[in-house]
Amino acid sequence: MWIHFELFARISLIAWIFAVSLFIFRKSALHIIAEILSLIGIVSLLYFTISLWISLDRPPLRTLGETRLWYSLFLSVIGYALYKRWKYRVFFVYALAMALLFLGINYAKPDIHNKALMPALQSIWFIPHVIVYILGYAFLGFATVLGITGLLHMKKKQETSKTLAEAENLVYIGYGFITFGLLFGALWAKEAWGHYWTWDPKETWALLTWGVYLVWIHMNYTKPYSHKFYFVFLILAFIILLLAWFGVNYLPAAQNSVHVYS
Amino acid sequence: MNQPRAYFSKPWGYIESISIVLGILLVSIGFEIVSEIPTPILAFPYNLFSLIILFGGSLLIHFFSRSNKTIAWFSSIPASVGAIILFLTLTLIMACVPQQNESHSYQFITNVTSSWAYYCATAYLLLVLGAVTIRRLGSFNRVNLSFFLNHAGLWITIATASLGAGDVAKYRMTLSKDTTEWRAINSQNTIQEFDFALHLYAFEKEEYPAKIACVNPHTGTIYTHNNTLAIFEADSINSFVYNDYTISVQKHLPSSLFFAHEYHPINEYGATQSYYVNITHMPTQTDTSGWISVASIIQPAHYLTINDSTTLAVLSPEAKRYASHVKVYKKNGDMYTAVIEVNKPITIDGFKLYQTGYDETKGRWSDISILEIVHDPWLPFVYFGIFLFLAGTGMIIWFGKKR
Repeated sequence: MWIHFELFARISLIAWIFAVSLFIFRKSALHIIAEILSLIGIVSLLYFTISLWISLDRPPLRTLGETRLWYSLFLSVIGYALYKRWKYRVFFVYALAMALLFLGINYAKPDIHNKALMPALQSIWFIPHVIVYILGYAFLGFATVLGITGLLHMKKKQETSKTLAEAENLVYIGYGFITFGLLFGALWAKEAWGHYWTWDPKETWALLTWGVYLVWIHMNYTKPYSHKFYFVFLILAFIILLLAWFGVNYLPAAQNSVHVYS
Repeated sequence: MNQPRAYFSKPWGYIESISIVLGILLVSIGFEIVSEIPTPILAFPYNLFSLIILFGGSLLIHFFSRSNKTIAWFSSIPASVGAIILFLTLTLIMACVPQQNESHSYQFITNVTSSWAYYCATAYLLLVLGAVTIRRLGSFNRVNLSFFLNHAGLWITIATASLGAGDVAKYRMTLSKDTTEWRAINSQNTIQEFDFALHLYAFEKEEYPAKIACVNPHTGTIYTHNNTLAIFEADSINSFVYNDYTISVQKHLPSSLFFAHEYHPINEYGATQSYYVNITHMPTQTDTSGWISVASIIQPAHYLTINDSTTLAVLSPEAKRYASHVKVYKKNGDMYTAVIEVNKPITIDGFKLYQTGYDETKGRWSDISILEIVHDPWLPFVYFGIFLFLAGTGMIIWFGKKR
């Protein structure tokens, strides 16, 4: 079945590349075309995934190539849903770009289609767990960009209420996704090892990140402090997030982590 | 900003909140160091009592909030933030210091989850979170529903998962083929006898069709072909091209034994996967045919030579599923058969039995099967909490910060 991959992947790749390019323009007529192209790409990949499933006679969840297929599919679908819901164009472009990246890896390096996953990773939780983190980190990353923008606006003595309100919404959505990530991870761990929580260093850092954003959300609820406080806090929170994401592998506490995958 | 006000004068804010949690932290650490009393592992019924006390505490905060401003403060945002920060402080210690499982002096650094500080932080978090949740019960609308799902979901998840941990029991049972077993080893390496017994009458392992590879016979490494490894899935294609050669699969025997110069389809002890293949050297149109197979526990592998530097080999098949077929005997005389499979545990008298392993050196002819037995009576409540929390999270993503 993978021999047909090139055709479907090519359709999705081309459709999405055009969609992303059209989304860069501000004209709304172009956005409608971009939306249609995105949907064509999604349908093409969905059709391929379903046929692959039927031909393999098992859910395509066992190899790295197969997981990438799902990343592409879900990122484009969720990106589209969030675009319809929130009209965050930049987000849809990001989701499509990530979907393109995963599809591109499969397209350029087909041999890793067949690299079998270790048994613990052969779980229905694997893909949702990774996808919600990709999305959550992206939303929080964009919120941080708004935090920096807000600080620059303040320097120029410009109004920042709108920037803060937008950042709040992004933090809420991003926080929602990383909560999903934590909970999916817990459910998966229970199934695989019989514990929902083992204080694995990555888990601990992910909890810390989650908690810092939780504090931000609570302190932001009645806004007793200046906008500057919230913007600076967002940047510091993102530094913890980055530590959780990249830094954990180098910590002495992480020597036996199940999450070390560099 | 507000006028500067005196420390601990009303209304309390973040400074007071941080002072309170700092107090809790220092007192609990001090108690641990001075008293050297280890924290108790709360098993039934003491964990249930603790749960009731914590919930009752939240209720009391709620009821006395009407008459007392100080008590009302404990269900405020600054109190919540303080409780979260206290918990995160301990999380930060765990995030930076490698944790050990044995009890130790200075547990709050090296074994945080067994320290008094952790117990106190969890209790304080649950008290505040409980009071906050109760306070917002009342008028029903979308915002309150989202609030309730997130806060109650978190409360139930943390309370039942941490208090329920004392009742979780884990055992490892090794079943041998055609024997009956009722004992298992727990995490302290002591033997536990159960009120049921298992008789393993069959161990089953299904394999994916083995893949065929072109390998270097001297080093055993797999060659690359068109920028990918020269591995071919013989189940989906009948023939493939490798450099100047066309290799076509004539027969695939998923279960076979070698005798009288060829493989025969036999499903007996030690049977293995084999392929009969034909190799055509295209420039000269010369053919070679023969058997290739995976090594089994009783017979060596078969290879076919393509040329001096290339051999055709079959790779070890990957497991598709494995399962134990058992007879279950109970003390009351009940007897029934069951299949225990990876990701499909069975339940006997409240114990969950997971398939975890087998004798990997023997592969599908393993005559032992390893099970994990888990007793986790609080699990349904934890899942209930997680379920509420997931629903609340879905609402956050969908509604964002819209008021």
